[in-house]
Amino acid sequence: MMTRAWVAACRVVGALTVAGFLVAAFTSVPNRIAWRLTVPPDLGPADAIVVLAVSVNSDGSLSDASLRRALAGIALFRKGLAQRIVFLGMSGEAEARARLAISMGVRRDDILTEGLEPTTRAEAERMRVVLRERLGVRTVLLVTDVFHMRRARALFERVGFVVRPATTELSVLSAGTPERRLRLVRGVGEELAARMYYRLFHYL
Amino acid sequence: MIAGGSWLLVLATITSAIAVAFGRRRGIACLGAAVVVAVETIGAAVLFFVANVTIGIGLVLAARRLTPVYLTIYEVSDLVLLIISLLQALVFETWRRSRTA
Repeated sequence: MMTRAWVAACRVVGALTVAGFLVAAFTSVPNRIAWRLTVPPDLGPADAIVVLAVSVNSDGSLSDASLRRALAGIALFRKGLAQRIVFLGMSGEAEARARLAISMGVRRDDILTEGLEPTTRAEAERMRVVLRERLGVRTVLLVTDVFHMRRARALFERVGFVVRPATTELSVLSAGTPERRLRLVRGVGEELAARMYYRLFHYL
Repeated sequence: MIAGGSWLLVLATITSAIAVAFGRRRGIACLGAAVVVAVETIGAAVLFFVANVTIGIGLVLAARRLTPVYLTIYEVSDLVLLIISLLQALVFETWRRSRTA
């Protein structure tokens, strides 16, 4: 009886998986779903630019995604959209980003670093204390990637900020090869799972 | 709707056709049954993957509560876990079929 149920489950799940794989790899359905989940950028003046954390490599250098977010934040700062830039990130990520910004002409006094927050929720809470309560910041240009933005924006709005999304890595939405579309599916899947987790624990 | 990269499917169709032509003497009737076995094994791999991820998340959350170490849930989204799940499914399904044969 148990074996029959197992075989039936495997057959149904297997068939759905094969069909799902073909749709994900060889059609534009993942691109369309990803576009629907995207928060379009709204670049404009703000009180501060907040660059959310990603990760650092084991040698302490910035990961690719971290570097992309940092560069996007620095570019916004150099356009004069805010007078202050905040880099977040544990294990030396925030400091490495600050050093990069200084090497690109940003003054040390205009940079804030915070490196003890392990989650986006903790980052939003820390920014509420540091930026909103201590410095009176209301509007932030929030720098994070295309999948992460919707959840990050909701968390920052929840602690009282007016958020202008500065979405990075929009190019992944136009993934044009099967491998890139599967990566897109993975990114969307991870973020949807993260949102479910945040909803489950009432963080959103 | 069909996007770039579809020629990979054409490639796989060509090599599959060649393989079937070579194995034709063995009889083509059991090819359908072989496809069903493959689909079932893929299904088993997905079920193992779901179980691995679920238990993994539970362990990460428990470690966060019981120890001062902070582990990220992204640890369990490593691609290697999918490959391990496929290997688990291959071994388990082969074992199960050998018992029922």
